[in-house]
Amino acid sequence: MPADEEATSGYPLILRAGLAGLAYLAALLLSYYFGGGFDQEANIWLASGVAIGVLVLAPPAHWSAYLAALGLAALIGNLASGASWLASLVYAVEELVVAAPIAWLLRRLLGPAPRLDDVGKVWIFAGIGALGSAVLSWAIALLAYAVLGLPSPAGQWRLWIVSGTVGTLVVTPLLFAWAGLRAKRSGGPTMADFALGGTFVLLMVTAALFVFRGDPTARFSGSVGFGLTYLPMIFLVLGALVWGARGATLATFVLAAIAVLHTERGEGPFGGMEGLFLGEGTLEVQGYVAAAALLTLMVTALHGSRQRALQEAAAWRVRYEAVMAANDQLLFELDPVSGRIDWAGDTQRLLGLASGQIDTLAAYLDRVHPDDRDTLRGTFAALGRGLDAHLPAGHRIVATAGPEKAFTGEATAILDFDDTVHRIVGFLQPRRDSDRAPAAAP
Amino acid sequence: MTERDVIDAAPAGRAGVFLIHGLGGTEYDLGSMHKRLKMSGFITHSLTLPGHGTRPEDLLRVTVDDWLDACRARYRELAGQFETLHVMGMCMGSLLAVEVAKQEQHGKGRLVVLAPPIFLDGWATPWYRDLRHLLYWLPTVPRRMRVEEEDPYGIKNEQLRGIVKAKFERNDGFHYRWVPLHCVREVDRLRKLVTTDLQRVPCQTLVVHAREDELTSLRSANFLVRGIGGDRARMVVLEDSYHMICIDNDRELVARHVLEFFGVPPVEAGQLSDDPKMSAEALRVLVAKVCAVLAAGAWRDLPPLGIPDLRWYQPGRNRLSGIHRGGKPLRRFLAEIQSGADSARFGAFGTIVLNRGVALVPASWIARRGDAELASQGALMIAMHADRVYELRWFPDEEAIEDAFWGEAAEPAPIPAQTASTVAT
Repeated sequence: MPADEEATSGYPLILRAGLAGLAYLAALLLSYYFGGGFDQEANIWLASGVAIGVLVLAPPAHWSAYLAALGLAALIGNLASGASWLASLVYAVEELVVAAPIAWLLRRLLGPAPRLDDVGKVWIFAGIGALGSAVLSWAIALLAYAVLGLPSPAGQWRLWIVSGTVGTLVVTPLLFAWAGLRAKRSGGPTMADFALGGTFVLLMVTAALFVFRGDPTARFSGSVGFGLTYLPMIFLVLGALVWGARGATLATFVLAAIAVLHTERGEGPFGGMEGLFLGEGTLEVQGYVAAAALLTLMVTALHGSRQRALQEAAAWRVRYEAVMAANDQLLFELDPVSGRIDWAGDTQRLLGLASGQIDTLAAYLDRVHPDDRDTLRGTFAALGRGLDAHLPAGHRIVATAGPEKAFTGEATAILDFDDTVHRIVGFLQPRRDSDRAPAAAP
Repeated sequence: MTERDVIDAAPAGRAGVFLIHGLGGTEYDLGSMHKRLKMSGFITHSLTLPGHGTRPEDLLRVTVDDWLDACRARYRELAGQFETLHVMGMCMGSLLAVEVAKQEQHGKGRLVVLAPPIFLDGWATPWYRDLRHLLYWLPTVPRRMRVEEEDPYGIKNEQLRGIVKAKFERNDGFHYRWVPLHCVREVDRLRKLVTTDLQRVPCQTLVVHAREDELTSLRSANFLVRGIGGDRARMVVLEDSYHMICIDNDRELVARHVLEFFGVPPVEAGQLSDDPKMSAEALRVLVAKVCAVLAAGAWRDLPPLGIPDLRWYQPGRNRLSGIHRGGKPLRRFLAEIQSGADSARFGAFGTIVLNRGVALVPASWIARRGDAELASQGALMIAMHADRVYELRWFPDEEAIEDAFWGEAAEPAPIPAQTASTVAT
């Protein structure tokens, strides 16, 4: 391969796999950091989410390199946390055994470059990718530890499953969203949107720090502190609406970090308190982060669905406009009750009139040549009664300036369920020479 | 207009135009400009910049010096062939055109600068645009990172955008789908070069820029005009296009302004060369309406028959002489006719001669003011397009008769406005 071609064909696989391994290691160490240190259980397990996300995004042909890098990172990370060689090895293998089939399944269900821009996709990801992987992980660990005679994690099932689920909910969508980032010449959010989204995220961070930092009893009385935990969520949702999936997933990660870190330190409304809604502070904050992550995913999915619908509508409009412009056609829809006409197509170019100038049947008839007016009025009257009638071929329309033009077209009545006329729809186009009736034979 | 301006702008025949395309592009960047220039009598020459016309990877081998050297070499080659040579560039090509004009002390013609990206600050430039300066310092990143073309592709017209998108998807080769970050760094270097010593640009310069350019704001055009100097540079602002002004909604306006700037008579620069999009019958009906208005002396009824930018060319050296274009100037001219005479109308219309969208009608201009009478024979030219008049020209047989009747101009006859939209100098 020539040097230039290699230069822009992407980074070498070994480098990309190495980066994935580093990301995994960072997520693992961060999980321990959020949990209070290597000797503590992690409240939010981010590493599995990295493994699943990386494998979903990587082509299967490259999986061996990525699995090797992720396995090595898992081994190093667990050794660094003080686990034995055997336990670290078991954990690394177990991580890969879980991540690979889950990633394969997600690729099948969501596609190779998944975008969580549909509510159904979010539920599939949350159910299989997040909860499914955490349950599978715990089950395999239980089995493996029992076979190898290691201390059983059976008693930690809730922490294992919840921290894994929450971690995957936070991290994997982040990878999905940012994996598609490409430098573009133009496009994407405008600078104004970027600034607005940034403001919302800044407000979210400020609100989160305000709520979760420090001793809540010193600042909030009663349940005020709990109530205020919704405040960052409001800004999170607003930021998600403006920034889309990339900003939303990043902001969720930041909110999760603030909430978990300060709760672990005994700060904030959930810190060191027992007897709450879910029973203990750790579980409360896990539930809080899961709710925030799901809420953000849902909002971005709904927003994405709407954006997609708008794009599809715009594409259809452009297609129709191209057909109408190429054929010099105008479409119209007449409400026989109000007499209002809605036009589609370039009325200014074809009729010499703005659509607003002929937005009623009366206004349109006013523009028709006096010699043709009564015939056309009769046609619309017949159509309005549900009768078959045809627009007079070559009826002339007089614009504000320029010569009068002859038009031809078709119109049809759309009947309601009780056989009354709901709308009269049709098209107009300038009469061409070929439209003229052939001269009668002598 | 100075004598030098006239010499510069009086081309066709032995006049050439050197056109330079943009980054990642081809001559298609300039739309139908080649065709329009050729139809107006120019000989057009372009070059494919080093690294272009093949595949994006080839851009990795080139630097701004290669582009500039190629342009300067081509310029020197062409300068030896033409008495008048205009230089014109689009996007990055416009920056190269400015630099060529500056370094070669271009004095053989004029300079047209289309959508110059002096600043990357358009409304749709990505939020991370300034991070590129950091990425330049990272090893291998400038050569490996791709900067992709993306919606809206510099085009406001949705139909055209759809066509361009389809061309990209088909890999038609009219434009690279991406360029390496390395090239963006080279363009940044070019920007620095261009912004230095702008006052050294010696020739008359026209800067054309869209207000809604998504890549680079009007600040770029203003900067150039200020830098080159208001005595040599002027600006046309387009109101209905994004960055690719030669193919977007205002392409006709761009062509017209460029041709007029190169000294092509406005009639030829206009839509005369195009299909009038009217049948012969429709042309005759519209001519009849214009003649009826003029015969009745109903001057106020004239503007509604034309496009908003309707122009009336009135020769001579009298108070009515000049080019009266659109809106207020035209209304002022028509009001001047009415205030300058007790009655003024056209009459004695002869046989209409039609040529594409242009009608030539022999006529007499008859006016009376007290005892003074005007009866000027001549011909009226009516240019039409899409059921509208876009230009009227009166050719009197003897201008002196009209000069005597209407009297000398109180102030110099209006200089042709440079834009239909906005002019800034």
